[in-house]
Amino acid sequence: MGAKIVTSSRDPDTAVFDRIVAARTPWSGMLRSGQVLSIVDLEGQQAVDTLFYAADDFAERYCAQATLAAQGSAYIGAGTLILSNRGRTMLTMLADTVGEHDTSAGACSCEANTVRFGHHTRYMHACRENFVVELAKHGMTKRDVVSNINFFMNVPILPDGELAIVDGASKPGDYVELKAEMDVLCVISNCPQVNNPCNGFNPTPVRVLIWDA
Amino acid sequence: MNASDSPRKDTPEFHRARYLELKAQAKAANSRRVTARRSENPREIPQELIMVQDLIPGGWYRSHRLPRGNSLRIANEFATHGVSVLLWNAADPSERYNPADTVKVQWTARIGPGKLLFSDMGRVLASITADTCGMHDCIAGGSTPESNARKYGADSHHRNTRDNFLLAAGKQGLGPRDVGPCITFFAPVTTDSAGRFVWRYGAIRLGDYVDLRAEMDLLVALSNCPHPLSPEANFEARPVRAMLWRSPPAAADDFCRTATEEAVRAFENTDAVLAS
Repeated sequence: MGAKIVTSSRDPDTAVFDRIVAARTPWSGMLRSGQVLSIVDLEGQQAVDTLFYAADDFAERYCAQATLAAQGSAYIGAGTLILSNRGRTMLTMLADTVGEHDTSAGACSCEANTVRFGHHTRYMHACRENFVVELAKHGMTKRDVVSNINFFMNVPILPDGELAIVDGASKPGDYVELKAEMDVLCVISNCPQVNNPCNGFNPTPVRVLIWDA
Repeated sequence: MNASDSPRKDTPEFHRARYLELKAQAKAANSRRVTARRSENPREIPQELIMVQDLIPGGWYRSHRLPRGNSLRIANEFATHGVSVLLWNAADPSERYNPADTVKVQWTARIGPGKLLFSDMGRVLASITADTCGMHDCIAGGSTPESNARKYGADSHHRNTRDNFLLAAGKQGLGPRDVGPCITFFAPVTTDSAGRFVWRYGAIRLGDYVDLRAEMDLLVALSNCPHPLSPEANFEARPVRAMLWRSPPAAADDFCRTATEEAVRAFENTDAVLAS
């Protein structure tokens, strides 16, 4: 695969925000244009479902399909321009120590889990539950959930179309770093899924850092 | 074997074994379907079964209400490079087409004959009951003002799918927040081993068609704009035919409903709500 590794020299001690997001929980925060966001996969193989909304108008939000069509390839990585549904660049991916991240397989939900894994999984926690509760803090609803980025989630799409979540490629301490190109709201679900390999069948905490421009 | 020998159901080992079992089943089912049985839908739909038909000009859009059990035929009579589609539950449009669940649940981005279009609620919006093309795109989306500018030049000002969907949604009482990612029929986008998109030349043929059978009452929007990854350097505005028709009811052994255990559960979710 064409994985590109780009490291960063930013020092956590100079971050203006530094927070552990517990396993299975959501987080949201505002990024001002020029600020840099880092998500650290502390223990490895932990999917972090992520959405972005323009701070001044939440109807403008991350668009997975436009982002992929513009770059001509199927995964998010260093150099990817994160585009909105109005074609504007919301963020630029500066650094990535993993290489490829999914944005086509979406967030897990209680409802899709019943189809994928059996009706007995309906009452297990899921990313969409996190998203809806976190979005409500910002006046949004389920309608506002669109296809998200899955940082640290490994979903190869094969030439014959086969698509499956496979073991994550991230090791403990791997990270991504993104620079906000406009003021954006970032909404995260630290994925609680245990029915597939996206979290190594064992959800773990991640760390979120923000640096000023 | 006594009870203490059975695997504990809350362990990573149990979940991994279950996942790999589902994956193997799906892989077998998807490879069987490469030679999927022929559709029983007629190639030429009898006139008395057609409720509405329209030739959508290149670049334009149309939206329809499609009652459960009826079908939308999209007939690519002029080999247009992509017809993008959005679907909503007519009774509650906050439930809408979800390409991520559509590809994830069915373990493939190759959505073709016999496959299902999923909503975000673990339910089936529509079944693909006929498909003579089998090459459609769920990953890279429809055209936008920006993709048109990249392809045709900044001053080209051709129509685009993003704006078409805003218009189509608006005419059904919906707003920009209801316009999510789409599926584009007759857009043969695949990936190479490095994840680069590859357009399969020759996969779009005159006269190919798909039938989408509504599995609940739907709102449907169609946008007839060339796909952003179509290799044609010029904006080729070819019309496409869309027909709403009275299709036969699904039989008990309907292929779309019974092909996989995921399909069976999805229809349990779908039919349970509709029956209540």
